Amino acid sequence: MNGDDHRLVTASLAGDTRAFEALVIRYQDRLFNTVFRLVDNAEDARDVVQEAFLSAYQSLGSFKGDSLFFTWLYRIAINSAISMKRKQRAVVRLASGLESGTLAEPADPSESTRPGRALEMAEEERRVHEALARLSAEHRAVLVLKDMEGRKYEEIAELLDVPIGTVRSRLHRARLDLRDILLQAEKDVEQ
Amino acid sequence: MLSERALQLLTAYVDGELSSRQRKLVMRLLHKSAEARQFLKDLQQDQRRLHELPVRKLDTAFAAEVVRAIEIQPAAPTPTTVPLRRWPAWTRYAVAAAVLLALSAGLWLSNRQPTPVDLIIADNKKPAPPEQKVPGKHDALVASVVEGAASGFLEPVPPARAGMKLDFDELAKTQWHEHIVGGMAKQQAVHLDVAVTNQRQAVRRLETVLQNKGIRVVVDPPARAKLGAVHPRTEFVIYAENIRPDELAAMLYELGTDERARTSIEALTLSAVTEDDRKQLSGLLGIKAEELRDPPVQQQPLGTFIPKKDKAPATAQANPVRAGAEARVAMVLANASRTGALSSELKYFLHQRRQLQPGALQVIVIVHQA
Repeated sequence: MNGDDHRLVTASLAGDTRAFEALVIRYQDRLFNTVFRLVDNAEDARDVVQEAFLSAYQSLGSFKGDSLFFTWLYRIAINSAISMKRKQRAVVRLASGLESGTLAEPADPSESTRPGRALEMAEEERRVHEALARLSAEHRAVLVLKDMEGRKYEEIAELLDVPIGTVRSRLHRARLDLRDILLQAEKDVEQ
Repeated sequence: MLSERALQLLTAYVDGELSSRQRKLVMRLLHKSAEARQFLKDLQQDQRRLHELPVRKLDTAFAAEVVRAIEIQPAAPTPTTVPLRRWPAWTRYAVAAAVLLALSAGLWLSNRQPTPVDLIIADNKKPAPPEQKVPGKHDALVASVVEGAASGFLEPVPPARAGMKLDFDELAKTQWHEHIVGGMAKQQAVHLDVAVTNQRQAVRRLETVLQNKGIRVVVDPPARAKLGAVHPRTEFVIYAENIRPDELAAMLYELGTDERARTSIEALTLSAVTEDDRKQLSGLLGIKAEELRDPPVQQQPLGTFIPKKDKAPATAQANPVRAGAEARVAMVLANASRTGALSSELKYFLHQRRQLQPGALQVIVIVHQA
């Protein structure tokens, strides 16, 4: 475990809530950014992330420290996001959450200065977000972890507690499904 | 048309997780097939589009909120300790047998307790006083046995509460609207039992539908503390007044169309309010039972609690019961024994209570774990 995380976890166990707050501040945005893509809307994502931190705090005593604190936290949040998506019974929410009050930062800030770029980006985000929303929770999770988080098969398998072969096959199916959805969306726009 | 094997190789190539032998196979495939080249290009573009999605961030207040929620948790985390000595193997079987015995006993006992639907605003910690037992109210045989042979030891099983049960999916359907509106038209009060999988989220969704009707929602501090728990197990009571039947139907419909409510609410049961409900509710509110029907005019002193949006004028649309009237207030309470003085929030609620308007309802909502 990262030395600083270890120090903060130890202090949190000793009852120092400020130490835990420092862990929250350190990881809240990374976690939120991933969960947001898994659950469609900002409010649910906020709830999932908050629950993850609260669960992590309650279970801090059982955290063994043999994996990264962030990985452990991630596992809690992602599993609860997937579980939430399963319960939503694959209802597609068009343009949901994108209008929310959370802050969005462009991946490349210099690009955002070009006139009209902001609109294009918002439209592009809407298209991709909608396409993601049409995937199953399991397929969406592997795609987000691979393409947005840049994680390896092995890490994804550990996070989702599934064999590497399952990650590989889910990613394969997810990429094909995403391709079909985006292709169909492009056709719809052309018509 | 690319084969499934070719597609698998191409998607894994995009993942960057191929062996050198597989990579050579892909290179050969790309060299030979224009379709494979186009497909790979599309996959890489999709990957780039995902990677370039803007980064979402939380607001700066988030961490402080988490800490606040932690600080009202009942217990701080404790390090897991390793047992100093190993117990002999037979103790595991003994413990397992004891647990099984305890579970069996628990199940047997639970079968003699009222169901959640019957525990209307009940104080779970406090057994009902003997004088509340009404002979003939429950199963006569059971009651006679209980009262004759085991008075005060076993509770008679109350009858199941009659009502109209709606699964979550039915809320967004309009067929039952007329039924509710017609059925409730002659009622003065309605009891709404809400079975949920996530107490906190469910209460929040219910608060939202009330607020969307212009009803201010005030949360009693003990309830707020329990709602801040990771997995609150307490029942919650939401009490609102001067709600029209059609307004209630509209709120339920709105709830049924809320995807976030879908993940936390399983079913609702509508029924008439009983005298027991009133007694229990008045106990929670710290008022006399008769004051529930006829609130005294501003008898309660106003506490120190001042809601944030109190200055906002109530619009005619927000309060359709009485255009121009003051905004209505709903109260969220933990369904547990009241200890100590009334909170400022509760005093504020009592201060804001008004006489029931003709045709309007008192609505008691019980939120409990499904």
